[in-house]
Amino acid sequence: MEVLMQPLVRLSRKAQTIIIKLVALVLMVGLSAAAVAADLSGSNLNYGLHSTIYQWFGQLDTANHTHESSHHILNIGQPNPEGVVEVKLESQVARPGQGAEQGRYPGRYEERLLRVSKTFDKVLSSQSVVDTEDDFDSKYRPSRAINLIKSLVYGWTHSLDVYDSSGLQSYLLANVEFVAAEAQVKQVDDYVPYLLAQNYLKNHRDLSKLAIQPIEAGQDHYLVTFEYQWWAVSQQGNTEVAQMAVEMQVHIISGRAMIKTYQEVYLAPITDKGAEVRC
Amino acid sequence: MRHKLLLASALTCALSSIVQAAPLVVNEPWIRAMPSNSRVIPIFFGLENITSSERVLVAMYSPAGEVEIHETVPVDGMMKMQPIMALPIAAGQKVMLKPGGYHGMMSSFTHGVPAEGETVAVTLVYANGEEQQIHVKVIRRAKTKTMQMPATN
Amino acid sequence: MLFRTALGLVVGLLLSVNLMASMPILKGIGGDFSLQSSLGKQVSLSDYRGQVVLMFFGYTNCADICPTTMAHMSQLMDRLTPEQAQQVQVLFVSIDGDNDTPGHLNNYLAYFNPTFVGLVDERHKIDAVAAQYHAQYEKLAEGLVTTVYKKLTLTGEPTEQRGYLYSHTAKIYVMGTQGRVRGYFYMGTPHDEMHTQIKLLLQE
Repeated sequence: MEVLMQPLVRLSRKAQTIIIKLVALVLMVGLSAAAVAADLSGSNLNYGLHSTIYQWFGQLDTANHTHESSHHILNIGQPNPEGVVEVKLESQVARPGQGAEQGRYPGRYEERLLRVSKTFDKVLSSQSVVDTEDDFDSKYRPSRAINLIKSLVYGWTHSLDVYDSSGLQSYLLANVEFVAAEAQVKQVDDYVPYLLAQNYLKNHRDLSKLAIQPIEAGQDHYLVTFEYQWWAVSQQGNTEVAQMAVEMQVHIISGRAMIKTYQEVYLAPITDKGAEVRC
Repeated sequence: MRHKLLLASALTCALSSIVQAAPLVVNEPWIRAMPSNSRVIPIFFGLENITSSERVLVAMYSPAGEVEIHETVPVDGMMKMQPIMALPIAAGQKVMLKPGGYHGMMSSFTHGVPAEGETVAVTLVYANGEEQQIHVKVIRRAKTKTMQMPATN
Repeated sequence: MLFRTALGLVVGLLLSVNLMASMPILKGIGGDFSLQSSLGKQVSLSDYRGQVVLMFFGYTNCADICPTTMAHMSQLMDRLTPEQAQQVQVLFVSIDGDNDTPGHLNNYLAYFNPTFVGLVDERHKIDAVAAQYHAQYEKLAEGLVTTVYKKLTLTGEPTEQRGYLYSHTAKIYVMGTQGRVRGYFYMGTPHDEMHTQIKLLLQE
């Protein structure tokens, strides 16, 4: 590096400026490459916050004698320093007599400001900012199961990321069938100790390919599948990565999505497809 | 195979009076020098069709062993080698037989595995009956240019 | 002059940026195993702790990908310093136990580099290692196999039912000095890139 810098001394000021600009450019390119790599770490989704908000809307989704309502979340913003989060959503209310003959109900577009607790585990208040009739009406699309299950998936992932054993436990039904990808993790209680024993400097899972489907009509049981791109940084500074597929059977009981079975397997790591074809 | 060769040579005889053999340009032919206990070895070269009509390579033969035209294709993350019966080269186009793609596969050697430094005669047979003999040197490694394989198209 | 200096700086910086990135550890893949080898004895991955291991699944009746890959690794070995070469071990796992005996593998691989070690064993043992490494392979359908290929057996027995073209994963598995999978090379990976990564792994 020093050797490379020496010729600078002999250059005019203008030339030096140009070179410094070039170097800055290169550094930026380098940094952005690093940023891309770090982006493996993810979408920066605040899983804890997402879990809390989905649970809150899941509980808001009602199915009672007088009407049904649904809330389909479009976007959850970043919380500001006061703990206020903007949520954009589509909602529907289905009341008897309102278009029920055709089975079609008007949709609404809403923006709400939710104030959440410091640890993002509670919604403290909700303020409607925008609430307008949307330009669509459609069949009633329930959202309760989706919201509750997304809350479970985000909450579970958050608990794994922050080594929260009791968080994991809170999602399990009694007699849960549990299979982790790592052979040493024989039961849920082993999971966090296993992660802690690795002494990672960082540990994070990126969620993708979430799919939810009812197992049997009329029952609140669902098959939930998704993938993790899991990565961690070891004490030695090595990045460790793994691709995992998760399949769960989920029962919704008393307004919460709970895990009945959980199976996690390692997938073949994603490789540079381009390199494979380039041969 | 034998039938095809017979057919090909019969065609050559029949057509030789009317078809003026216009051989394709063969670039950098080479056979990978392989262990003496190999049962198969690859033949590589570039074929440039400078004629004004399509040529289809349908077979190759050699006094040194049997030759088939093969193609290596990526399928579901695996490399699959499969025999092909015809390799068309449009007028004015080039086709590369190169590692990881098309190649001649020689086997059933008549005089053992051709050794490094030897030259092997290989005859290319086209669908129109034309034949073209090339001489292929057995070398340990490809020239750098050939080894920098462009993406398969 | 100015341009050249700037270019030098740019290249230097890019290189230094590149050099920082060592291959990640891939979890959920790999692990120790023991198989019969071309050395005439059982070989375990753990025998090579402290060395970088480059492992390839293939078969010697393969005319293209396998020899191209072996030649590529042979050229790589020639580029390493003697010290580095001693710390790099190439393993060739044969998926064709029907035709690749330890002795055949030994002669075949020695042509590319005398230090290369071939592994071959009973089918279920090879399958277990392939599964550990998420390496796929399959015999091609009989119909696709030509008569020329059917002749290629060791035994010379009638071979009507013994076509054995395989399709297979063409990756070179790269293992660090602790025996953990760090990523893949391919037969198209430039030698410079392989050399750089190997040096980084050896420094760990």
